[in-house]
Amino acid sequence: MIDLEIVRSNARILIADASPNRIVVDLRGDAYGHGAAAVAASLGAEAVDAFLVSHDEAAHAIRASGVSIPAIQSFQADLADASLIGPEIFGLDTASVPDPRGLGLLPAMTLSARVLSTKKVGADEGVSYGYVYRTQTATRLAMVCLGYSDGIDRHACNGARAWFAGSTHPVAGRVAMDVFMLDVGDDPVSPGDEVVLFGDEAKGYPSPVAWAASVGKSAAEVTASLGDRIVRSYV
Amino acid sequence: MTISRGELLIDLEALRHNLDVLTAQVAPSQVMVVVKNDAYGHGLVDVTKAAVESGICWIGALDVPTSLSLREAGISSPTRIFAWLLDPAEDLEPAISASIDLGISTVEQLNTIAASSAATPARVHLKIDTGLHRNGATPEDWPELVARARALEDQGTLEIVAVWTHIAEADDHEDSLSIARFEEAVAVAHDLGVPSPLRHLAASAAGFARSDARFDLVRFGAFVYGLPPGDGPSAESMGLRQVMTLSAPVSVVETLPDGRRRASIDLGFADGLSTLAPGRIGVAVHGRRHPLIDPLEVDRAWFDLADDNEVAVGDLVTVWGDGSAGEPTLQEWGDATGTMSEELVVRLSPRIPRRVI
Ligand SMILES: Cc1ncc(COP(=O)(O)O)c(C=O)c1O
Repeated sequence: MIDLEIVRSNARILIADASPNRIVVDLRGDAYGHGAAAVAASLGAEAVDAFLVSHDEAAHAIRASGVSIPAIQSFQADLADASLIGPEIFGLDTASVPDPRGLGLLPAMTLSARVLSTKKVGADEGVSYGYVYRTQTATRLAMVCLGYSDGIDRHACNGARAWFAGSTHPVAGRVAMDVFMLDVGDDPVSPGDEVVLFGDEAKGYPSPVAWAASVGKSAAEVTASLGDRIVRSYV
Repeated sequence: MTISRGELLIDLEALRHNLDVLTAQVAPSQVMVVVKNDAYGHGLVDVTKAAVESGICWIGALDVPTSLSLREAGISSPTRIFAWLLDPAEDLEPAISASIDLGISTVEQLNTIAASSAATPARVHLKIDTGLHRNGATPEDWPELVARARALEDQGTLEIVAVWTHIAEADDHEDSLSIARFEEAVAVAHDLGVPSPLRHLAASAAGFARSDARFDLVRFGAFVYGLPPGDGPSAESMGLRQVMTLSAPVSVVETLPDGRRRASIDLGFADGLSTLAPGRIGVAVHGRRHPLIDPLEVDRAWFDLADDNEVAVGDLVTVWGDGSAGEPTLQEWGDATGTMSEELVVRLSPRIPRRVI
């Protein structure tokens, strides 16, 4: 789920910082997975001079959504006198903005998924391929409907945690192609329940920056490589 | 031929060759071709049609929407289509009516089948958890699952087609334990009135290597596409051929202020290339390997040209393939970037155009 109101308020903070320079907003990689056309449309009334996009399809989609701000590609862009606003507009970390929250920039994306099934297991049981994870005590495992084909790192079991029912829990075992397991401990869990991989820290979710750090990547890489099976919905 | 950004070349001849190798390897067991995730990024319908034309009777489609789309694309009975990742909220009537084989792990799922309005009996494969701990009934829950299925079979609601599991491929010993637990579950089902179901347990690695893992049917995914496991024998040494080649034209050639020369292709991390690749793997131009270098950008990758003066804008860069043009294979890519080839192919952007030969 992508909160376009947050994108707008992040944009205002960054634009105020950068003016009076020409403002170019970087929407490459389909706006780092947030959807270039939807994001461009939400910024249509802001003081943005151009959008930078990866290819013709994105430029067409932005024009088709009725946005009059030009969408340009790298080879057409003269960024010499411009401020380029990058993934920080989505509350993601970049080389120039390592701590987006410190500037008041909140994450626009909440990545959530549903529990497909649950299972009680005993202590010291291996979980998922290669049994790289072993349960410490008897516990409940939830099978969550996201996998590495959706862009969730196979190695997220090396420290990544996801939110369920008010607290965060460890990803248990290697992420498979279509699902991963979450070790939810004593929390009662049922098929259909919601798990949040990252979102607004203020709600108790892991931040995208924290999630990405636990898989050794930048948050922009994580969001940009999320697959198309993940439905993008906007508020 | 010119390509603008990137291109995936899918060699169905190589795929058919792999199917022949796998069929011979596991005979008299049968081969299921797993086509989940758009046939591991190779193209769902093209791959399934090629498999069916090669005589394959079993297709593993993962979920009901994929299975139904295959029926709509003309993959009709008697080709069996197997779906095992079921949405708890899903109405199973369309799947049952389309004669989709369903992988069933819980009594609740059996109840969903019983509550559906389908006119024909559902074809079910009962799943036992032999250690992977994803889905599948635990050994404690297994007798109840089998008994409930048997009762529904007597009422004409369903037909128990198979008993199956999926194993962790942790090591030979752990896999042997899973095989023993599976045989135990088959025996329990037998005693509860399921005399001779099909039995399936193995995916690519165990199915290829171990005759005691094959039972009646092996569910092959990765090996169909010529994708061997990491850090192991190459595809070639197993007699398999990599089906996918990823290439892109050179978009920029430039000399940096320090005199180094580099070139780019317009594929980046948003297209599915890993930021771990620079410094660890290279690409091939005119048969010569060039290392990828930082930064791997969102929509662009750079490689070092060293003293190669032959590379020009528009030249074809092979990112990965079967190695015949000097490029790395997907196995080499997986090993270099700390993952497996399956992750690389299924994370590629579906917007990269695909050409099937
Ligand atoms: C149940 C099941 N069977 C078979 C396969 C195919 O596995 P592989 O690609 O290792 O052959 C998969 C894929 O993960 C699977 O989930």
